[in-house]
Amino acid sequence: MNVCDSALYSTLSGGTALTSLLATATSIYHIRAPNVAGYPYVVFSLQAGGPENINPSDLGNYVYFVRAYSAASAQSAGAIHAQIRALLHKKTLTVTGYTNFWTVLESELESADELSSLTPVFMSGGLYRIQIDT
Amino acid sequence: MPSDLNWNLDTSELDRIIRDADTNTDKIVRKLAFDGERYAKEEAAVETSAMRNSVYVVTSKEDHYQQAAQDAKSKNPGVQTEPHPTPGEGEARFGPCVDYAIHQEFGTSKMAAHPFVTPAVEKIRKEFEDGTTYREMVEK
Repeated sequence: MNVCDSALYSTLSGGTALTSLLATATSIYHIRAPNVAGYPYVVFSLQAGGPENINPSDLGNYVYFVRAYSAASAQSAGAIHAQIRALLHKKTLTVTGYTNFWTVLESELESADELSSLTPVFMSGGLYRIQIDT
Repeated sequence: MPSDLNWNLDTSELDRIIRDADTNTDKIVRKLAFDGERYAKEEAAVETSAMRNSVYVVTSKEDHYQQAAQDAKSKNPGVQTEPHPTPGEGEARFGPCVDYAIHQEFGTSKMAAHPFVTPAVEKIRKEFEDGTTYREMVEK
């Protein structure tokens, strides 16, 4: 995990309004959920970005994809996404060793996929730009 | 001392920039799109090569969909493809046209994402913002 991964996990898992909507208070996963994870849950992963390398400090510019999956309904996934947004959009994350000076939701996405049992799983989430500097 | 002060404003350079603006915008947008296609192809996960082959550019003046769809189907005959929406004047679009590409880009509830278009967009954003693209296309 890089420093932003840890900051995101801490922020999301500390949001009780968010975790109260999930299967368990720890249903927040990095990159992908375990096969046995119950719905709903949240997954976050680095979508793009990295060091900017434009000045002597350690400026980083990352795009994270943070999304909710729900087997109940699109509305359920959307409600979780709204809580994620409330925790991240235009907020300041605590990033060890860095200052987070920009965190914003840039794009919102919705989709659905199907489990082998043909049960639909709804996704609602967004791409967040996170910029940090030393 | 002079009795009055005069400024002579030479607008010839400004006139040239304005005159060339539409042409330069088109050139820059086209270059960004083709750079995006190249970066996305470099980052694309490869199993049959169909998804990588399906990445193409469409502008208001040219459309490479037929070739990209044909190239994708040559690697995976069963794959479904769909063209990008037609861009407006001065716009361009790039990306894959196979149906499963969105699941690779953003993952699913049971599969990790393997992004290749978003990283390409980030690379061309950086080149656009730091002036690299403008210098290559306009100031060369």
